[in-house]
Amino acid sequence: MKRKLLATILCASMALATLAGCGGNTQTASTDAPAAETKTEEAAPAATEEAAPAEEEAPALEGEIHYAYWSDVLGPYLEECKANFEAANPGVTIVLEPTAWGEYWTKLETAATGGAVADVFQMNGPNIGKYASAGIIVPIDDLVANSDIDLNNYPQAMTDLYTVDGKLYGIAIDYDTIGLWYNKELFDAAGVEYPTEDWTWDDLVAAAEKLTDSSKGVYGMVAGYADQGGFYNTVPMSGGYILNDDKSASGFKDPATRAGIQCWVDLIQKGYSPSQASLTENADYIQFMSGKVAMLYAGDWFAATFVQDADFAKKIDCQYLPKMNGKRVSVIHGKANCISSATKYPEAAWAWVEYLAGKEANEILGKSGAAIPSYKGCADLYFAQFPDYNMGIFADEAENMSIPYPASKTSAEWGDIMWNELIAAYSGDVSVDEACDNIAEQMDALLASE
Amino acid sequence: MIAPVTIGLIIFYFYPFFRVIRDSFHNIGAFDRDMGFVGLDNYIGMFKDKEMWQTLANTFEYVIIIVPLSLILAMIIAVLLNAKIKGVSVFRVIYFLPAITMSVAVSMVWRWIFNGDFGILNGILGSFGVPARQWLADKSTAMLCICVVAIWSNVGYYMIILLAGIQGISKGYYEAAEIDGATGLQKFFKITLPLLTPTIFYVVIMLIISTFQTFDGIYLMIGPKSQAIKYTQSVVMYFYRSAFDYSKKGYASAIAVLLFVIIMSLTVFQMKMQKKWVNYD
Repeated sequence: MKRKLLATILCASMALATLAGCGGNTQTASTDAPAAETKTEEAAPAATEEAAPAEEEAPALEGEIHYAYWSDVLGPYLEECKANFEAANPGVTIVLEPTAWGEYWTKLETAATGGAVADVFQMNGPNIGKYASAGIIVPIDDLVANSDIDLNNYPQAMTDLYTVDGKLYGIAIDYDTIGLWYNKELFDAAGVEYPTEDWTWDDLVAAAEKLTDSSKGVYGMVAGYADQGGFYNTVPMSGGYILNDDKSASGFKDPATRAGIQCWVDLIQKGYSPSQASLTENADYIQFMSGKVAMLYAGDWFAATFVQDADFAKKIDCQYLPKMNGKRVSVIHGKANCISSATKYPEAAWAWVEYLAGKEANEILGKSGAAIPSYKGCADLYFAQFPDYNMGIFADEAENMSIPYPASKTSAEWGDIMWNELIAAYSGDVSVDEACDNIAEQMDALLASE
Repeated sequence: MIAPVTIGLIIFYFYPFFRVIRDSFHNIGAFDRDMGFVGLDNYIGMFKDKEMWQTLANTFEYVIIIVPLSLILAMIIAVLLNAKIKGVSVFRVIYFLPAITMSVAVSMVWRWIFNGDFGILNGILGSFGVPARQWLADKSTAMLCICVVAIWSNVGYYMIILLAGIQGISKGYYEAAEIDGATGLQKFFKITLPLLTPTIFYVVIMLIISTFQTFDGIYLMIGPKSQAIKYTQSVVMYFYRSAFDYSKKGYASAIAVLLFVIIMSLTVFQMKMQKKWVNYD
């Protein structure tokens, strides 16, 4: 009897103690084990590069900077940058921490919650609002003003994307647009002419019909759910919009917007594309690379992935996005480096970000063929890596036909809502109209709360 | 001496337990920011959430399919493996192996077997002329796949427990039965089954508790980004998505509390009912 009483009292007091203590995160268990220090290769910088100017005036920089990123194609470029930066700043060590795309954001958020996030990490459009509003990253306006960085050297759309509430949080290191990639071998086998600059969406549908051969399990075009690589482009071309100009409401009530999504669902329903179920199991670019689909909307950054398969690399090329209603646009996006507000080495972190935004790092990025460097004039270095492909279209789209990536403070949330509702439409479970009604309702409420 | 265990228990069991209950009454946003006490809003929200009801339906479906089938199959195999044939221990090992294989490894391999375009299952069925299906992405078949894998992994573990139970039954009963001319089936239903009820009771409780908590298979084979997720997710999976994909940790805590209440009620109910059908002698 006494034991029971004691046990009950203990439990109750523990309960009271926890209820009384509000908030307060406990374990700062570091969820990201720093990647084993990559060997500092003596990568001989190209003859034209000069070493980054050392900070002569300020005391020598010190610190260990953890840098988180997701795309392993960036590996060689980052290792060379790391080697150069560490040579110029001996007191600083850079620890590269790649995480696979599928887990990057979950891991980043968990690490940020626990106060153990990397000092510098890559950011993208859908998530900048969330991290900036929560104060996880620092604004860099003052740092940029006091440095040699000239924001005119970077695409304006990128500077706007990473400005939240009037403060700049990151400088884009690359930019990308979307193009139409196609498999020449499949086109030849079906006797269809390659896509041209003048193609319209109807031309694409007609070609997809001829290219689809169910006996061989080959489809004409990938039409699974994709925002940046899909309807973010066709919606504006159809005359609709995702976000209105002052970001107070979404465009999903607009019939033109719905038309820009319906065109994709139609492709699936006509059988010219693998079903959404199939694309859920095997990603779109994987099906493209295994020769199951003849056409794919994909960003320029996929070139680096495609050339990893030497045989496949010979069979493909890229072309402008087909016009719709006489219009052609591509959404433009890019990654930026942001500095954590919890970093112990703010000066070293800024120096690393500054280096990566500089001309030398951009040139290294271009030559590595991993992404189009954002610094003005460096893009050609990237295009030179893929002489067999019609890569010039990406630059043209970026300069003349780009629209900013739709993003707002609650992008992360309405991105999920869009996916949740539209995936059902792409699977044929609900109509596009019904899905868009649901999206508009929820997304407008979110935007109103910003 | 008991300090390390106690400290571990407090940190990893008691504190999270009470913390989750507390969090379920708060609105917790991204980065664990506590945005204030909201009373019963999370629970009311759960009541109104269509996806929550679908998830509960999914979870009950899993329990109704997996528990009886696992039990029956484990029982049949246990009886068969009780035979005194040569090499029976080899078979016991083979049947037990799934139970000791990491669920992550199991899920990854089964995911490839079920894959719609490159999987072995479609390959084998294709040679019989059966058209290929997207087993894991199609909502009509995805749940079945999870059940198959769950039963496959469960059977080995519970079979060993039932086998131990069977071997604990005194041989005297069987000898007496044989003298009276009982057939194999009669021996099973009249002797083995009644005397095995304590073990069966344990197995049923453990099966129900663990099946209510299915997560690995769904997360690894179907994944949170699949269109079939709403129709296959278990309560724990929905809890994970709310907490980590949607950053609604207060809501997720309410889901966790609900699951606790459900499992606790079922277990208490079973404990009370055991007098009716379990024979302890």
